[in-house]
Amino acid sequence: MKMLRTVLGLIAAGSLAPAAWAQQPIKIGVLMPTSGVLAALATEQINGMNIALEEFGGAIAGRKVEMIVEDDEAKPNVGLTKARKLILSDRVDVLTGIVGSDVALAVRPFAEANRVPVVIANAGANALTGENCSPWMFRVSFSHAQLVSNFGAWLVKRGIRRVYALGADFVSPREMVEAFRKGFVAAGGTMVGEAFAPYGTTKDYGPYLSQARAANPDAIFAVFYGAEAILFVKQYQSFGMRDKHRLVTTMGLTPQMLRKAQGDAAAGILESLNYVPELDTPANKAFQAVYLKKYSALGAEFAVMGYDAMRFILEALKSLNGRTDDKAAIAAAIRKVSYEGPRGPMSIDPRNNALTQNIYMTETVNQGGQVVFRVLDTVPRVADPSEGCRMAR
Amino acid sequence: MLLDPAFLAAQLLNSLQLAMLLFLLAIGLSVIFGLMNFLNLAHGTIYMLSAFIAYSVTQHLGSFWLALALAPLAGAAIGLALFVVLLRRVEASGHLVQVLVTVGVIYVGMDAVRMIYGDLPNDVPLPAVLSGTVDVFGLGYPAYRFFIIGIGLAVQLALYFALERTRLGAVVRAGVDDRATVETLGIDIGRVFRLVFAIGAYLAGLAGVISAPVFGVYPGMDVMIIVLVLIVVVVGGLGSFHGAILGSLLIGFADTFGKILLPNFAMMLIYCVMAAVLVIRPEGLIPSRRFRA
Amino acid sequence: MGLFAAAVVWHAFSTPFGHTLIAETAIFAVFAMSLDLLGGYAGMVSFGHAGFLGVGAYAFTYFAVILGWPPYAAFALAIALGAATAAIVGLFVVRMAGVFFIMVTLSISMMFHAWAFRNPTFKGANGMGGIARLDLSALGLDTNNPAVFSALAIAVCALVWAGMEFLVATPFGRTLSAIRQNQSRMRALGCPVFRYHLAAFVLSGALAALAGVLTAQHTMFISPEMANWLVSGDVLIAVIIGGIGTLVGPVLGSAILVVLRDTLSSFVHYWYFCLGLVFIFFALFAPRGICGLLLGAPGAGGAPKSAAKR
Repeated sequence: MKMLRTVLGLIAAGSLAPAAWAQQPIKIGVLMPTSGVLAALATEQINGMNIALEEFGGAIAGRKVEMIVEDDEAKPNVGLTKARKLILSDRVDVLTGIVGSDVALAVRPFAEANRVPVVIANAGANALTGENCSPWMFRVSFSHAQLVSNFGAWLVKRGIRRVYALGADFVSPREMVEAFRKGFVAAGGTMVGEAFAPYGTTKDYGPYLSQARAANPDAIFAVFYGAEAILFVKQYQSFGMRDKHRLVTTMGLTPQMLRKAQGDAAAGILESLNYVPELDTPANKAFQAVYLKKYSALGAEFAVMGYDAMRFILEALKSLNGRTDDKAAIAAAIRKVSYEGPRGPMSIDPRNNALTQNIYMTETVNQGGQVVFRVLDTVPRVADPSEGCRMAR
Repeated sequence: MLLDPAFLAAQLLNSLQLAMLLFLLAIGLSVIFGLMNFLNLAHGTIYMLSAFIAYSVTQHLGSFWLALALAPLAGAAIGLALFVVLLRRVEASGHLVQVLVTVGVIYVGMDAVRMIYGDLPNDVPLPAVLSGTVDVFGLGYPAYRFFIIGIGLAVQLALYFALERTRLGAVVRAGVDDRATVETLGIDIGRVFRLVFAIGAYLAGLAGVISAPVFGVYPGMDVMIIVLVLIVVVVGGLGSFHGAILGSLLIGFADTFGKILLPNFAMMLIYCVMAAVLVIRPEGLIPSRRFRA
Repeated sequence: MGLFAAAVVWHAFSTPFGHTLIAETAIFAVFAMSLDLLGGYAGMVSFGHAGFLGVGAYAFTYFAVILGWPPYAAFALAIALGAATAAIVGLFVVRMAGVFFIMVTLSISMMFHAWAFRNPTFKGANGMGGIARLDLSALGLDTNNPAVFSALAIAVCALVWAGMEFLVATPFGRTLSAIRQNQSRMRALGCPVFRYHLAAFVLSGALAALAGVLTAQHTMFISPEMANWLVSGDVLIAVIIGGIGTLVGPVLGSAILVVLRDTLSSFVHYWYFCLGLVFIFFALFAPRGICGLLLGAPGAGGAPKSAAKR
């Protein structure tokens, strides 16, 4: 019965004659892994999107803006199916969200063929603004290379010259380690080893920690996410290695949502990030105040990336006075958006449709029983160094 | 580096720790299968639920030791309830239906913990007295991991005595070897099943509690570990106590040293090991008598 | 037959997204039928069929996209490679039974997954796109049109179904069924059980590879997750829910599973919970699947027991 109703519903939705666009709501499709291990992250990103939506009063030029959220289960084939639903059935004007880089890669050709702009709110694989870039795809989150390319030189200046890298074995950590290695070695550092733990199986990092320790590094560069990040940080602490081999990392190891579980094991880590909630700027303070009031929590990097993705779309639509009939115009408008946001100055690099943003060198400190970030240095307006993008202008 | 005693010792201990954990889960699964011919894929769900209960206990009652005492009992209760209400009905329906129902239980359990506890991974802090390190050839090794190894050994000893020296143990061993004959001896096999299932669930719950401070508490943790446990059971030999010990040691060592020595094949290694063992000895390394060719 | 009519009706009234569902269902049904051939008729339940799906998809991609060979040749070669892989694996694996067979097939598929995950030629875990659909413009058909593609998928599914119906009634098919029902007796009668089982394994692998090629065509994207053991579990469940040992069963089960998975998540946040309850419901009240419910009588057989000798 449900199937019949679904089919009938889909038929009805699909056969609505296209009315004058001015009366129709603007539809923004959101692809997120709302079930499964990434659900909490997805929720935070969608919260950020809601805040941006509210900032614009939920409408552009009199047209209501509607968010349609679909679960991509962090799987490329499901993501593609849901993208098909959003684009063909729901007829969304813009697509956003996307946490998994594999989902983004799967969706890209389909979105391109249907001329729907995609604004990525998370997926960080370099290829998305590199060899797989597209005039229809924008990324306002980060790229792996962008996050860590300056980290190595900064660490060398602080006296860290030998690093052992540990990460989960899939694309994201590998790209981070590679980008880090390039910058670090160029600045005079030495990589004394690297190892990647199989993804999705047992979470025992004991073997890897023991091996890293045996190589006697000044620091361990670790890239893990989610539950693995909690476990790695705790196991690292349990081996008592902090004095001789400190921990350095980038986005994902100690995000706000995991720090309660990590406890004081999360303190004393040097991190290269694109955002911390403690940034002392008027734009950020305002964002944090709104987020705290609405969600009774701290809005961290995932929330702010969701916010920025939605804001880019809405700013672009506003500059077009809410016109959505010319898709290429929407894409062009997105490319021209720039503003001073909670993260700092935001603008799109027309070379590869990537975001140019500040990168912050930070340290986690224990402050009154809570672990917070302290910004030590800022690298302003870092462009996305991903290579291989050949977009016709 | 490999010959450095501190490094070798650390990896040895890592292997043993993993082996103990796998044993606690594998023995229940193996004996349940051997005795009742029931493939209980939901064994991991009990492991996960007990870990979450341990989390709740430490959160609200503040004591890891209390969690250690209570959570496995809760696991046993849940396991028993599951058996009596649901699983017993499909016992005779063959493996496929058992797969269907246990996968259903896995799905339900996964969302149930999400509904109750939310989506974020949770944490059970190390008990204070065990949160330090022990000096092993000059390098610190986490004291808690010694604890895991200790518990594992204690359980193995207890089970050995239970199986070899008690009447119930004799019935279980006989039942695994030849169930029909045991039934004709007038022994209430149903009661034995319930007891075995409950003990298996208790051990799974114990595994959940003691692994929580190291391996965490999050939805989906059962799916992550169940494949490895199945491999231990199959490699060791179905229904066999010694097989479970040997299997868990083999897989524990293979996994740990494989990650270090053959990092590029780490993902494949365990599967290759299992496939190799099965090709040479299709019933596992030490199968119980019923499964021998 | 009624099922085919229903499919045609669904197709006629469907939206573009609906066509995606139809194509997905039809392709999954081919996959499910391949599993049922092995599990329901030959009595060997595999938990690793997603591996052959992956082989088919990756092989097709390799020949058509990376080597640039003509798509028809790639299509045929991919299926041939699926059959060859099944033959080699089957030589070792087919003589095992019950739980051991399940575990070994599981491990084989996970080995493929692990290989694909790290393989740079196929872009590893990211997966690879750029797979074009077969060009049937000579026949006046635009395969990029969702309606056309889903019609083709239904056609292939119907062909496979017809082929299987035929096969099951041949002496080969009947012998397989007899072997499943009483292997020792067939052996005593001098039947070369190993050869029959191997043949069934190869055929099943080839069909699964076909489903793999179709999947690659449908999503125009391949990734290691195609060969994940969870996919093997999915297709096994589809077969069980539909009714193992029948031919209509896998098709019905696929339809139910695909539609539920893709539409449930739009309505319900905790859809795994609902799906789990559906499975438990079936296990308790309809263990022979929908076919068992509808037909009353069992299909070609119930769940095969483990081969433990008593």
